[in-house]
Amino acid sequence: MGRRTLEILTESMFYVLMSLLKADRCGTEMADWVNARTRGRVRLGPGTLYTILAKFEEETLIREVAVAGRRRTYTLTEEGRRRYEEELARLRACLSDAEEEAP
Amino acid sequence: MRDRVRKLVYVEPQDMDHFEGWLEDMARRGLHWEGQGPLFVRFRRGEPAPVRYRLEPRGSLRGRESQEYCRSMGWEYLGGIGRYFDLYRNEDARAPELHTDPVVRACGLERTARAMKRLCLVLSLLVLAFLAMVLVPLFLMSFPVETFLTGSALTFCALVMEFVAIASSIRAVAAFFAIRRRLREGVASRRDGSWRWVAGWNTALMSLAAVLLLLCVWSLTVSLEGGWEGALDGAAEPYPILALQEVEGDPTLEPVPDALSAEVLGYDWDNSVRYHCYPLLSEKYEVEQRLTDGGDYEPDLNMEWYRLSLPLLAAPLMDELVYRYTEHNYFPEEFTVEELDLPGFDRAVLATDNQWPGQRLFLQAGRVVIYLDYAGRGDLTAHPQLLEELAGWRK
Repeated sequence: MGRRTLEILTESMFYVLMSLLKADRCGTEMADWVNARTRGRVRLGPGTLYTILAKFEEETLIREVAVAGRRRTYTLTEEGRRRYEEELARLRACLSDAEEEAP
Repeated sequence: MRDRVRKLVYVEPQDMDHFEGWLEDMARRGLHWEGQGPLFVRFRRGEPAPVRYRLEPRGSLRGRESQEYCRSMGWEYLGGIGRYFDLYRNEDARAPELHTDPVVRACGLERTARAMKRLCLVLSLLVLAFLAMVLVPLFLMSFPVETFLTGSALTFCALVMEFVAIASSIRAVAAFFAIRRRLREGVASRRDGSWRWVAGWNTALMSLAAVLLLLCVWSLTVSLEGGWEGALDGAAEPYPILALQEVEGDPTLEPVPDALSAEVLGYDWDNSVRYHCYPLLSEKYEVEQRLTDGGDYEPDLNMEWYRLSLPLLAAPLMDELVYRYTEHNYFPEEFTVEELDLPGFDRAVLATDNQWPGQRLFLQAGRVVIYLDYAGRGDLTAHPQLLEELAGWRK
């Protein structure tokens, strides 16, 4: 199921990858960033956030780079960046189709 | 009023939505989850409140950072539930859900799903092993009907009880996979009052299992204690008998004393009666008679008399007795077997010994099945009135 789940990233997954594009962050920083970036539209509950991190780490989309106290900081891997770009292209294609079909 | 209340685990944690719904309903009634054992959940009385309870796969949020994030959002870790889950509670109705993405939640249940598949496999193997334990010996036995009537009924009862006991586990595991499938499709969890339906179903199953357990105990007690044996003339209770003197038409015939059995058993085995009862065989008598005219002639008549609890087993038992005493370990030419038309009987089969003077008569009348093994010069079928009285005998 692991691979199948990640074939299409959900909105939460997509924003977690996005949060790591320009900076390495720990879990709570990612949650705060996503909340701010989407103006509160996407909120990451603790269960969702840490399940995503565990899954992404297992699938090598992210990698832990530092542990300071209880904070674990993650960075995006090449595979994670490639997966993000792939999803972005898919979303752009969706949007483009929608715009072309717009009345 | 007591501060704490114990309730049976009406809904299994594997059935996550219903379990969470149950705890939330209890909280709305002022009963707040406090702890859980294998059979009971402990609730603490308090103010009714719209508290949210959520199950998470065991250990998935145990990191210090994730625990801190949970607490910051009002999610309090309560403890482990069963083998697979941790329980969280949130009293703040405005706080975000523990899971804000159903697909991700489904993803987090992967490890639990694998463990449950292993559990299903083990349960299936156990059921198959138990089934084989019960059924294989039965099919390997030469006389499965009598074996079933006199012993296997207890095992079957236990088998049904086991099926009932695991039925709720199977339902809960099926519910878990249904929830996971819905989550993967992006459908959020539902926590409505439908846990009551599950609780009712589980209560009915538990009650049935309790009844079957009592039935097993009763069956065992009856099988172990419900019997007696002794000499024909000194039997403690009445018993059915076709008197050999009447078959022979000679009231002067006397029992042949068997000194050895009298010394070992305390009664004459050749002129004795044994009684047993079982849940599916309410009465079974074995009556032995051996007489003598004082000279060389020593006729004997042995009888097995069955009254079955289930009439539908009478015909299979009759077939089995005919096979057992005319075919099993016998040459085909030893007996001439014929169906008789005897008044008062559903079926009568006579096997006449082709070499020695003797007959084997098999009778079935309703729930009563009789096997008579006679060695002598008389004719069992010449006494239809006696046979009818024998079949109609009651204590």
